[in-house]
Amino acid sequence: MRKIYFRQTLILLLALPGALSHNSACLAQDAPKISPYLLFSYLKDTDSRKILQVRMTNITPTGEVPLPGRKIVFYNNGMLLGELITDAGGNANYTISDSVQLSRSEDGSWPFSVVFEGDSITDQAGGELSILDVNVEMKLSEEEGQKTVTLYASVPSADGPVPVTGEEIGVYVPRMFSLLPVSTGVLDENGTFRVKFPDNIPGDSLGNLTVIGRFNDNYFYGNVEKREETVWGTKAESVPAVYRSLWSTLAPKWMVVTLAIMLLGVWGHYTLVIINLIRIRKDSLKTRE
Amino acid sequence: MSRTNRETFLRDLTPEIEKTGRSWYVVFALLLLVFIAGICGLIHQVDKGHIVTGMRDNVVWGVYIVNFIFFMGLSYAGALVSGTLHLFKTSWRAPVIRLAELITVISLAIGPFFIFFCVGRLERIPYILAFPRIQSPIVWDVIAIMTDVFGAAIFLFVSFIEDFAILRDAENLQIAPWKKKMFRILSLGYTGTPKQKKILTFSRNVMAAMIIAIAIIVYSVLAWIFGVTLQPGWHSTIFGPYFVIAAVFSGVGLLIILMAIFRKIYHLEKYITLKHFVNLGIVLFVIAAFFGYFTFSDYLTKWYGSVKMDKILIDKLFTEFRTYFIFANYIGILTPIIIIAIPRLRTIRNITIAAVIALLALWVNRYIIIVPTLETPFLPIQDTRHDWLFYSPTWVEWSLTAAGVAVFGMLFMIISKLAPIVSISELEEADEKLVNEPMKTRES
Repeated sequence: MRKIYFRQTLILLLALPGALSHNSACLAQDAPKISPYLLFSYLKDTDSRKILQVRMTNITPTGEVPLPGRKIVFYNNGMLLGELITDAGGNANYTISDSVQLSRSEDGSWPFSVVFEGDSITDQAGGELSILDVNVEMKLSEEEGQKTVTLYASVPSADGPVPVTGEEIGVYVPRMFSLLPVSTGVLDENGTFRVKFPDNIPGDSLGNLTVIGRFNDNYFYGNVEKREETVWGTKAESVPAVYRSLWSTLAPKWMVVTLAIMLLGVWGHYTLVIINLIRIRKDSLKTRE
Repeated sequence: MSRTNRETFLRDLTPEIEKTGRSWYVVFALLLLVFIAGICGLIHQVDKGHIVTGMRDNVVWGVYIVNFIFFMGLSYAGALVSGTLHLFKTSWRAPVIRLAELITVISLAIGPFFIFFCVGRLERIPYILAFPRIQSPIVWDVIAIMTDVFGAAIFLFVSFIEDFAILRDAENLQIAPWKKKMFRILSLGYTGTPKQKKILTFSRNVMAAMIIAIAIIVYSVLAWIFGVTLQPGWHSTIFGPYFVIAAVFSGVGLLIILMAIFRKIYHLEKYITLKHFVNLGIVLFVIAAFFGYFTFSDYLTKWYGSVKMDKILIDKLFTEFRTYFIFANYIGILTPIIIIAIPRLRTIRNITIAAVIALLALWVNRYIIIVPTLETPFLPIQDTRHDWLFYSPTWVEWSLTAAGVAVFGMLFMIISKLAPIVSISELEEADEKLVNEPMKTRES
């Protein structure tokens, strides 16, 4: 009986590591291929650079997980433009060189496409876009304390710039993770949109902020923007020194006091006991004498 | 105290100090081999980095932290049990209190090493002391553990003084001269004068009370490292008491196992009897019931709340981790309860089996508290490669875990060769009570 008891215990002890390692091994074999979500967009930035943007993610029950290390191939009307590997955030942003002569389709737009061929753990994916070229100009003016942003959009043509009309455009300022819309509206018959800029948008400690005029995810033009630095923001107040946060070096007073009392209490008792041990030693020496 | 009784205790309890059998060396060599395997694993880890472990971006805590919490829990349980037994003058404590005290110190000596195995850039460890941020739970833990190490060491030393004095004065003890010298130094010249006895008793009482308080606070601090974190499954107000109860559960289990081992190997059947197993079994029963209550309460409130991430976590516990969940929270809790509740089943063997199951279940319980939560992050990060999202311990982690257990065994074996595993002074005190109490009854 004793042998059985020993054997049972031994089996239990040995089975534990195996079981725990086996769990993940089983899961690894059963794991299905990732079906990626590919977001493809176009951006013409403030320096008129044309950028093809790809973001590869996996939609899981706990949220959207970026897919880094995937090779994305970029095409213009079937012509290879280049290829990039997605970064840690799952992004691959390809900047089209000015020297590249982009091919147009019949309606005058640039057809772009991207392909991810797939790999051992990820299914293939791709996307297509058709973009019309557009230029955006932005003018910041201030008259009698009234700040105004004027946007003008035009399409280049052989006969010169043609104003864009009836399309939605907006004024934004950047915040930590996205753009704060200040105002959006429709371009008039002259291709312009004028809007008053509010006085209460926070800037940095000097009041600096960036104003952005932008076509945002436009059906014809994609994302096209102009940025300008100005001092139109309100000055940000510095964080008070006593403010407590996880990254602050200041602990709340109650915590310091509580900890100090507890440590003093405990170490005081330790000291008392050590003194008592010394007393025992002294007493024994005295007794011996 | 009669001289005959002391001689009997010395004759029964000191042979292991006087001579060492071949089997002791064999077992010690085996444990040493396991320890060396762990060292090989550690060297491999230091050489190649943490990539050789199963820990990745999502699951940054694995078996190392499980072991850390587990060993620290054993330590606090040892402190709580020995402190309580001493402070409340429990009549049957004499043969078991020394084992509980040793569990406290030995577990405490091993547990923190797993933190060092878990973190990278060990050269930065001194920064915790050089630039502490009091509001960080990690700093609370470092302060608490350091305080506990000193307290446990003093508590153990104070409880050993009388035995060192007895061994120093034992005339027939055939031991090496260095051991005699060691007893002479460590006994502090204690001769048992009324004054010395009074001071020592006072000191032991103070340390027993302190060690109970420290054990509760320190293990609560460890629990708060989880509790203050906004992670599904961890952010719980009952984690402090829950961890303390769990610690006592595992500690009592280990105490019963050690009692069974030393009783058998060192022939202590006369001192460690069925009564001790049943008494500690009843403690295990009560703690198992409390532990079950806390576990149920914690999961029930999380399940009923239906917060998205808690729901995903609980689904995970009942699917991917169901085997471990059932073992940790059903078998591990119900087995000791059933065995102790039915008087017919209360044998030394059955109680020891219950203790083994309780101890293993508690380890698994720690595993399913840590790993599934880290596999369920609020914000997914970087890659979705399967082995990055799901944790699987590697041989390196298992070798170091086994090494921790081996060191625990080796330290117990070494200490059992330096001092009796059953406290002679406690036995004498218990014996005196037995003699005096009938006299008092007669007088009254």
